[in-house]
Amino acid sequence: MTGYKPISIPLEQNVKLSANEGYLVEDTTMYRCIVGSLIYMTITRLYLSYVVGVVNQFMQTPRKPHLDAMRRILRYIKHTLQCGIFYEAKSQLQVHGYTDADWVSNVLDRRSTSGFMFSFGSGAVSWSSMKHPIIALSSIEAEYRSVAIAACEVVWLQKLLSNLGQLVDVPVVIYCDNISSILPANNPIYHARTKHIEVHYHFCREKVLGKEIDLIHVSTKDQIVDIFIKALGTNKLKKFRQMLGVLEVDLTLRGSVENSSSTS
Amino acid sequence: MGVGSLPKDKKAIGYKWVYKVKHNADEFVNRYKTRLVAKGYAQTYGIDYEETYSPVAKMITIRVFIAMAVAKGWSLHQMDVKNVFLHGDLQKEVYMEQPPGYVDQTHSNLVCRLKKTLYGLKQAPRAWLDKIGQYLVTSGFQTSNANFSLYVKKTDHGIVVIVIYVDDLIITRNSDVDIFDLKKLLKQKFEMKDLGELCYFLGIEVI
Repeated sequence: MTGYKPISIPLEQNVKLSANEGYLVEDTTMYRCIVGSLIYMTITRLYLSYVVGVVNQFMQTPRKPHLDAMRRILRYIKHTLQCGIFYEAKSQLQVHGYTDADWVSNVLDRRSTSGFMFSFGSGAVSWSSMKHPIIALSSIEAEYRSVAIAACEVVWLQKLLSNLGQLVDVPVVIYCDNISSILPANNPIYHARTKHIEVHYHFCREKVLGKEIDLIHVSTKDQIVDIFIKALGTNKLKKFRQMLGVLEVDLTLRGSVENSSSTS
Repeated sequence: MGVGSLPKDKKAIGYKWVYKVKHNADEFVNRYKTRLVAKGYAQTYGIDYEETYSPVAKMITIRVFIAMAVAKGWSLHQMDVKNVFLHGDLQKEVYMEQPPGYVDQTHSNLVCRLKKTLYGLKQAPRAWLDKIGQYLVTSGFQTSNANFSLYVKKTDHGIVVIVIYVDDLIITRNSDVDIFDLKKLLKQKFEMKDLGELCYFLGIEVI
């Protein structure tokens, strides 16, 4: 990988990877090992969550396009080598989150992808990028499901923080860019069209009415969670990375090439 | 460990020596390690072991913990337990062959009965977690119900928090007195390495 050039986009926009196209990768173990390492990297490099999730879906039978996509991620890592989450000293300790869903984004099985992010203090602490286990019939259903997943996380975070002796201001603000999912949560009159998503719907409503969470609209251009649910362009990636609390600091990876050649 | 003859209905499990070269964060050779490991695959569920599941701290917990300590200006300390899996107590009777290289030539048919866990035994991680958990609880800590690897103690000076990731402990507090007391408390019971301020944890660099 040392000869590869850094690249500013980890996954090409509008390119959907297919499960059956391209020839099979011979060294599947290598593919799986690298993807495994990439998953470990997402512990601190949250902006990789979505793209790693994409290559992770082809672990079973990796093919040439998947290998190329993985190489692209490695080149992107080279580009963002100095990035890390920055937790600022003496920052305000408040929790707020973002959530969003990309409806039927997966061309193979038409499942949606949803993501959430919660920040505590100046940087993100909890995030998720996941493909839904079942198919959503409408975008509002997908949005609802992601709000419900985020609400579950809020409940757990509140518990954890109270154990740590940290009081959280309620309601916890969750930003989402879909007005139709905010309205029924606050107002029961829209109910009829969302009957089939009752569990998620009632769960969110209960949390909103109980003043545990508050759903607030955010414009799509400021929707950070897009980084967890779709492939983005250079500018948005850079902007969202900064909004997540990821800054460029002086870092070296353990066993990196520059490091070992200068010391040996 | 006691040496004696093997009861008829029991089976003795084997040993193996494992040699390893440990590297520092900068890839230099740190030291050469030898470890006696038991062939845990020869153990039978219900006879030699029962519970094996041992939870570790969630990464989110660790991040929340670090974010909180940083924002409050509390210092983060790291400790490491030496030979972590040798601390656990065995609940079941486990017999072992005499370790290769240390066989008593005149009594080579005798076996060892283990009192504590060894690396390689199925229940070693679980036994360790129970051991440190019990010790911390008797020392006044409370287990968090949001994450079982998080221990919190309220003291006269404030609050002390420990996150346990197998043999790595990260500690934060809002008074220096507490951290000194805690380190003393842990060192009394376990052989520990005090790594000072947190800088390198699970391959994550903290700067």
